[in-house]
Amino acid sequence: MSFLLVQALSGLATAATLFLVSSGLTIVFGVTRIVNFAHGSFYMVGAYAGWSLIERFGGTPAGFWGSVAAAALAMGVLGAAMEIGLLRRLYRSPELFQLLGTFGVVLVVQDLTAWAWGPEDLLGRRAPGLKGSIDILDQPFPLYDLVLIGLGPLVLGLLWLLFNRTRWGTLVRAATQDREMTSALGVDPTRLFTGVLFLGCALAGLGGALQVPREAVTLQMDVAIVVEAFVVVVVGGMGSLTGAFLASLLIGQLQAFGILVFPQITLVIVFLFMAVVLVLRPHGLLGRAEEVPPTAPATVTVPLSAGRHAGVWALALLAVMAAAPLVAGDYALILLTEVVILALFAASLHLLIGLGGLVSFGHAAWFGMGAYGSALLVKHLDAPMPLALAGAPVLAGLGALVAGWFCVRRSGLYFAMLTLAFAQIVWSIAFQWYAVTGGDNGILGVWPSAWAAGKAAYYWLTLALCGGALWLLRRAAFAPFGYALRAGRDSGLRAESVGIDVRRFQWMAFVLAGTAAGLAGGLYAFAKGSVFPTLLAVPQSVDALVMVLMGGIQTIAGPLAGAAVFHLLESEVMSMTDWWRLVLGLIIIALVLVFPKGIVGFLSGFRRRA
Amino acid sequence: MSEALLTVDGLQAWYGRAHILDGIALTVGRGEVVALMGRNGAGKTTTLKAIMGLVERRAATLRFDGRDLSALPAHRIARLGVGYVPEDRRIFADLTVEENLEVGRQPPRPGAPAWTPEKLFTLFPNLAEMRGRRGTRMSGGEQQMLTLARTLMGNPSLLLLDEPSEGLAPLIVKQMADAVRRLKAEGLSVLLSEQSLSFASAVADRACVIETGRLRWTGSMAELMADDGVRAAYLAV
Repeated sequence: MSFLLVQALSGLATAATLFLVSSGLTIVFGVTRIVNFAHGSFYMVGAYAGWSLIERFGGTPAGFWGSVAAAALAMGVLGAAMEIGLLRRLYRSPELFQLLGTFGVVLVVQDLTAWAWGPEDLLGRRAPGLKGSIDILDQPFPLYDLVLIGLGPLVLGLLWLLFNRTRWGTLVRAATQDREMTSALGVDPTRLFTGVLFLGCALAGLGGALQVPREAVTLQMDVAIVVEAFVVVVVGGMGSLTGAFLASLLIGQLQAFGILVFPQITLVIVFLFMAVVLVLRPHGLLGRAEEVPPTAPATVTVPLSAGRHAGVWALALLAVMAAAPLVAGDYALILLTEVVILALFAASLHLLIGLGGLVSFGHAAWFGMGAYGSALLVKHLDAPMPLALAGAPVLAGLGALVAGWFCVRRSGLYFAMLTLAFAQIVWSIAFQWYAVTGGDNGILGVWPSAWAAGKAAYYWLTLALCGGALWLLRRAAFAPFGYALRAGRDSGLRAESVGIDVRRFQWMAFVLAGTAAGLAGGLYAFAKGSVFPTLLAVPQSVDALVMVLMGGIQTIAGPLAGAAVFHLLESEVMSMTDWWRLVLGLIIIALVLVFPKGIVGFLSGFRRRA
Repeated sequence: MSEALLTVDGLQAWYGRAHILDGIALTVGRGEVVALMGRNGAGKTTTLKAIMGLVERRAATLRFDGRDLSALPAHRIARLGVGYVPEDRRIFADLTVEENLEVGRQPPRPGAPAWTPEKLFTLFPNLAEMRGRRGTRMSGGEQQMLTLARTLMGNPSLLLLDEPSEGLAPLIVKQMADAVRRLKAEGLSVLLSEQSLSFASAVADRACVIETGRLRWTGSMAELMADDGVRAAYLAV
């Protein structure tokens, strides 16, 4: 009994931190309508900055709490700087650009933090005066955690007062509902938004700095917390503070007790909980229907059209590529094989984004499922390569069939969050289920059959399979299926009213895209000879998005060009430096700000002007 | 004659690629009520929005009280003393009546009547009884009154009033006309867009008639009432 009570209390302490971070995220979202992927970075840097300050000044209670406050304020200032430098330019962009742009910040911050504090985990000192524990029904419980538990409701109360009892709070709530009308009443929205980012990021920094006495400060804490905070915000209802509080409490308990019951799949439980909540209450526990994020219309300036000689060009390209082994060396062939695989991966995501208007933030799930499908068939069933390769798209397609049923119920940002959640579920299974997947050791020894073992042979096999799949995807885009998908993208209501079952077409597209990505993943597994959980992780999904964005959303050829450029950049440029995250992050930010139409879109715009 | 309070000349406006306004010119003198008349889709709302800086792309000579408005964002225009009352009301539904008024509050400015919530509650007695009520629980007429009161909290010297009588019950329309006349008596200048000839004739000194984004006729309200030809050409439905 007393053990359960202490477990519940430690769940409350977790919930307090979770609430501090997610309250900031939900406030920022409520006003700016931007899901700030970089929110976790402010948490992480807040922890690092807090660690440094506490090491120096944290010997006394005043020094400790002063350090925590200073770290929080510093994160607020950084958040305001990010609003001025980046977010301000993204308010009218489609959500894909907002998510990617802020993810670029995540990458940049990761490298800058590693540069400033080094790669080792840091252990901070305990809070002076709160080092001990008290006995609760004969079980020891840390005093510091008790303080945290009290801090959650205290911050909720202060935020409530700020938003309901001050002029600034009233203006923020007004701007949340109607930005234009608020500015027509003489309120400068830009300054208001900068202030909101200050507040939101200061809360994240506060949460981070408060973690210093509890756990090690690491370079991985940013993405881990932001994904959890996403779940809290989505479960609570996006933009709702009380909802975030409630969801934090629930998820804190779920984690505290989940670890007792299913220690292997604690991560999965949280995401499953979110999926269930979203199906039962589509707007979250306390969210409201009118708070559906008004997704910026995807600016389709140039409708997708079949190029006049597309077929001829494609055949010519295929012929040139098929001839490559005659001149290229082994290394070049390996690179080309990967480019072809990634092209299929990117094209499958493009089917969802470009045609369906569905921004998936978890497309790596299907790529990785394909890869793991093949690897598991080889490892556990000793399957020969052709069978294992055939299993890849089947497994991924089945996964997408299940996940798609949930995901296509929502659109816009919620869709992105749901796909992210499913990718995290699959990732955590691969990461935590050691017995089957090998955990982070991955699965090794996934080699092609003897007849395809040569670099050239495997390259031709890849080219044939991916070429065929790409041709099918292109056929689908210009078939009635593709038209229906685009109709649903441009106007769901109008499409419904002429008898198109939009949701069903989106579901089919989801499965098709998942299957194609699965094939790419299977080929990738045999190309590399191994699979690791990173194939399913968020950065892999982002890579795919960057490839699509690089190539341009409005062209079919875009993802192919994007995959080629991205992979060459990754393997040739970024491997030369230890700071590849910094480079990639800056590339992403530049893409989002300067080349929103991608390479192919940019070139064709250039041609049209010339 | 001294310079008009508001001078608009050669006003052009676009939505995306659609050219909505083409060369609208009008003036509003101090203490004057001008009605912008025209059928649905003539460009009345866009004209008011363009003056307020709420249209993404526009070009014009826009002078207000000796200042150039053409390059200013909406909040700066509002702070100079231009009050905008949208046609679709757009009250902040999650905020109470008092909070809605608070959002509109700006410091008093010389040459314009100064408003407080108490003073506004005497002008709109209905609102006084529902200070703590949220916008979601108000009737259309009450919302329209609140929108006007909220803008007045900014102590404007010029009011841009978009279709004040649209969709309101006859009794409320009459209250609205009374309110506009009171505001004029307080020294406010008003540019209102209107489809209803009876409402316009009850409050306006002059009228500008537009159709398909161009200015077609301008003159005193009395002249418009006397000119059957203009009314038939541009206003009759």
